[in-house]
Amino acid sequence: MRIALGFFLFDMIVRSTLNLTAYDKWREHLEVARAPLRLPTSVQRTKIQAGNDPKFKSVGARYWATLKSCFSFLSPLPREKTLAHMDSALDYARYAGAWIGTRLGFVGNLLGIDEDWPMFSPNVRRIHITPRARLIYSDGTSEQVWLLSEPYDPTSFHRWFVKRPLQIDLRLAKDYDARLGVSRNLAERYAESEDGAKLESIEMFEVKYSLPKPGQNAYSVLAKQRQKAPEGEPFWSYDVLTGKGKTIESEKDKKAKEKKKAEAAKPTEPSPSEEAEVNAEVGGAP
Amino acid sequence: MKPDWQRARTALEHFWHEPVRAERLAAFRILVGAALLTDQLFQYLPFWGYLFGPNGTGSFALNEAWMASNWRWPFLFFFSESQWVLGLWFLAWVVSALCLMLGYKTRWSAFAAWLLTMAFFSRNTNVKNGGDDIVQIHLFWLMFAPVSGTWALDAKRRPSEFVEPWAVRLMQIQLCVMYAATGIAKLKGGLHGTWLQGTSLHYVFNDLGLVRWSYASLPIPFWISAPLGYLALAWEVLFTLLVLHPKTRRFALWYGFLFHIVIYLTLEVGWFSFYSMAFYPVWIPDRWWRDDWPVWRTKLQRFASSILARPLLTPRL
Repeated sequence: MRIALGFFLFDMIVRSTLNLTAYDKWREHLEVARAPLRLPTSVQRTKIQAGNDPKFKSVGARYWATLKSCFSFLSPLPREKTLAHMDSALDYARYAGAWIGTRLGFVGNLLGIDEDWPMFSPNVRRIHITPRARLIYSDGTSEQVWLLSEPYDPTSFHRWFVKRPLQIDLRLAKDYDARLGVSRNLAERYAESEDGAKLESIEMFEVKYSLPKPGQNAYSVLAKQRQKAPEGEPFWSYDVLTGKGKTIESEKDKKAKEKKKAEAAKPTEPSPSEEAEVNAEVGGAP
Repeated sequence: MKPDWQRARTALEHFWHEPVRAERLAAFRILVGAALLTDQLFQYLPFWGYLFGPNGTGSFALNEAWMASNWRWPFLFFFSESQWVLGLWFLAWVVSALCLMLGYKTRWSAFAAWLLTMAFFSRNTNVKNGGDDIVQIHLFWLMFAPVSGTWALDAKRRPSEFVEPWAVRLMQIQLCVMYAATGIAKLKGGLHGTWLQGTSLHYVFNDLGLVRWSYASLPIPFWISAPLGYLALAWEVLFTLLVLHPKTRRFALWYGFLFHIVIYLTLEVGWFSFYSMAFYPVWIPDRWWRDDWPVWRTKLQRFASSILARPLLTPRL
């Protein structure tokens, strides 16, 4: 009992503290695994049973692989991949932090205990970005649907007991599963237009609201933004017939991705000694 | 006079081993059970179709890969898409919360409530916020803590005036850790962050995705929201120090109680306030439960009986 209490006390204090550090970045840099090999999903199990999986002959073998991975996950020794990134004492300290954080996080996942308390930190947002859905019908007409995260009139509204669906709507921009789920739900609720046309697709747009600054007249700032038009291209498209959705990258995201890719591919500047070696080989000036 | 180290040791032994009054944990159990039950009835049930219906956001097929990747193992048994089966699971969840509140088969009901809460959260993880992390912690400890010594149906068989204190201590430390961590996380915004600039509460009250009503309908002046923001930040960061001394503890807890009430009244963050306030009875000292509670109980009983004795409809002559 005392050991268990000691462990949970340690977990409570250490995990809350580690969540305040950049331990997840250290984990990424040092390539420390976040969790053991995941449990097989029903799709994977069916594939194995049908003999279509090249790695596993039976479902039992797949579960065994997960169990084995749990044992190796609990080993505190760094993997070869990780060792390649560890050059200094600081890296070893970061490894220790990342290792403890991920292992406690894993136990937390198993028991349903999370010790991350970010509530409104480190800053509170000054703008409100919310998704809005556009329903496109077979006769070419379209209709906009305001979700719970966007009051139809920002100057006059109130909401009680809607936390659960509201929480989902607030995560639409970040979470693929939430977008797909909400789209399926909208497809069911708005299957036909008022004129009887069938719903063909759903798009989601971002709408940005500037929140009144301290000292500003809140009413006039919000009143100007009533039924504000969505900005830019849709970030999500859902086809009702196939039931499949697609995340659409914005131009900004695409450019950022390309820039990152180009930076990763760019050769690093050679050091002066390397330059001298290259010059010597090709016969150029030292 | 004992040397310092011996006094510290005695204090530590007292902290972890001196039995505490059973009411502290019983009140905690009742509040958690009541909060979970009302959460289920007011926040889940009216939106069943959106959350867990046939075309809801919590369908198994939609979330299975996420659950497997994140080791949310309840998906191994909580996989049915049938509305009947899901409805029965929900009913079992509601019954477990009710039994927990009443203290009937307390350990088993706490186990069922913990398991099913985790199962429903895993199935549709997007419905979760910080308050739901708190209730998961509550339910986990309720499986082991001696919470049915009094005010429980189980207490009829085995009543106890005092119980082991470890659960009380763990809950107290958890609350300190929670407030300290969130306070320090806010300080990470630095001098140019909204918390140290004093604009945080202003923007929180303006957040169109969170507030209960439009700021335009009830604007709170900056000269009120700025000092309140600083006070909230200082209280969170210093909570652990404040509760060390009985005099400052009283302020810290009353402030916390009002803080959570204000959060509930102004922000649509669900039952976060109620789950957080469930921690508070464990802080009420034994002395109060022994001396003051019987007086309050008599007053409450008189008040209740006066209401019950009043006829619902007064006949008109």
